[in-house]
Amino acid sequence: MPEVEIRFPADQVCSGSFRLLELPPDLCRLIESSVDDPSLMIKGGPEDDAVLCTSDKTYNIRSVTLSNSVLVVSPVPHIDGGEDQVIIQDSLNELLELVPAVPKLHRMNVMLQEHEWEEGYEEEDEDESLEGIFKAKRKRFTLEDAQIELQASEQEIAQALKEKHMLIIDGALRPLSPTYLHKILELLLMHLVSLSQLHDAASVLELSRSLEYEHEVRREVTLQVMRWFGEVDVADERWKMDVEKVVRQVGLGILCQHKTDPISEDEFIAKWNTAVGDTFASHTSLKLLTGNYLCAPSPFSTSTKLSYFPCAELPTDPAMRFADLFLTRERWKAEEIVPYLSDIAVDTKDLDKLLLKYARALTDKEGLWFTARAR
Amino acid sequence: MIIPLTLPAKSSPGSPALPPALARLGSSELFLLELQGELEVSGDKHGQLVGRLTIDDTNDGKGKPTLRIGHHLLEGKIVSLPKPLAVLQRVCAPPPPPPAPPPPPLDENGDGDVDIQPNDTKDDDKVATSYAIRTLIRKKIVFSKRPTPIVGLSAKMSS
Repeated sequence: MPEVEIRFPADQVCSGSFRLLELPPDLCRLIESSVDDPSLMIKGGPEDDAVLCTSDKTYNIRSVTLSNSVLVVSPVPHIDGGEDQVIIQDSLNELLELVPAVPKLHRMNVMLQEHEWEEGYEEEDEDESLEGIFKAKRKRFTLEDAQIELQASEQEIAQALKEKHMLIIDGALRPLSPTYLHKILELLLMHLVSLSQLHDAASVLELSRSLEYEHEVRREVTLQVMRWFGEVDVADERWKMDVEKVVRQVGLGILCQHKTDPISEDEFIAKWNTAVGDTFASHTSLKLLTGNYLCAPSPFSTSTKLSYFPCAELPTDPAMRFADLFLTRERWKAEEIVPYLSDIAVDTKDLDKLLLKYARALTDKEGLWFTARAR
Repeated sequence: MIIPLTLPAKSSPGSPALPPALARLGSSELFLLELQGELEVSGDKHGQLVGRLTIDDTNDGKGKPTLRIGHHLLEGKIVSLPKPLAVLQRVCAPPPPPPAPPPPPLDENGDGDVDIQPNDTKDDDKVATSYAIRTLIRKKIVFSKRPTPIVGLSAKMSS
């Protein structure tokens, strides 16, 4: 029976250089199938919990202590006549586990707070002499910075930039202010009609030109807004508007003025229909705004009152999210609370786990309710 | 901060394969050996013999590994891992090619050089660390039982 000698290394090998990483099936497939670099990276600052990012997914890295010790052993080149030998490279008591995670993008909002692109203030940027001192203080924040700073994969970051309406102007990321965005969209809708353009094949050039000349909206801003809310055919210079997205955003723009004083549902829908115009009025539906409003029965009439309550402004930490939710309302219908949790859960299973951990379920004749766990 | 994970160049010539006796562990260049407890060594351990590993193939095709450390015999088994493991190794990257060495100052004093030096090394430290995925592992050898003493082998061992 062949024997193999196990030896300690003869030379000083720096121990602690090995790590064991448990691979979820999808990641294992990715590594095996990739011919060259699958662009895996570990991201995080000194205070963060590290995450592992593929090109489109993010995983939390968890360290698991093992009670047994695991020896990493490697063979040495076979010497003729001698016995087979292997060398203990390292002894490990720890395993790294990967858990699918929600990309950690909330930091982007904080970092870009003061970079907001506001109507009427654009010129400040061009006026170097006046703004010189101020500008030196606020550092430019580029896409590359975002890739380094944010604990999320490349594709997730690109997606978030689109969803959070980040302009890229002269290489720097600038969030577009919601009110300005609302105005640009209204202008686009208006000019679609006045220039008699088709919404699924509108001329990019004509739209952006009239917005620039008549309303001083920079062309690059218009173009990026068009990209967020539809597809721009580069060769053809045509914009295919995503009707649902535009209608939704216009609705949000109206709703966000009603954070503290609620608006009746009928009045809101009427306003919304006017804002999007006759062509798209049929697309307005409260369903589009799920996760952004609360409705409460009005005390004096049969209609319900809506108030603006955006999911995006709630804390991302689950415990704090639930605390906020239950401060806003003591009890939540199951179907009402789910939209406010979907962005912090990886999948529905994860969402159920969160509800189980932080909320108490109650069933009565109206259905399933959730209340706070601890009083 | 970003630490890249890199894949090794396919079939790098420098890495020897596992000895034929261990072939049933797979074709990777590393394997894992799990022990209950630790290997405790006193004194200088460099290059010292730890023990002898045998994999008995005769037993119903499963392979029964045994490990002899001194007068102790450990019996183990080959376990398939529920999830594959990637073995990562920290790589201290080879120093990046020096950015166009500055012309040696002939007449001037050497202050310039001294100022540049520490800055450079700092930057290098920042970017150097990366982890290489050495191999993927699907099976390991586990020795979970207590060692049994070997009697009567001492004469043979010492010879």
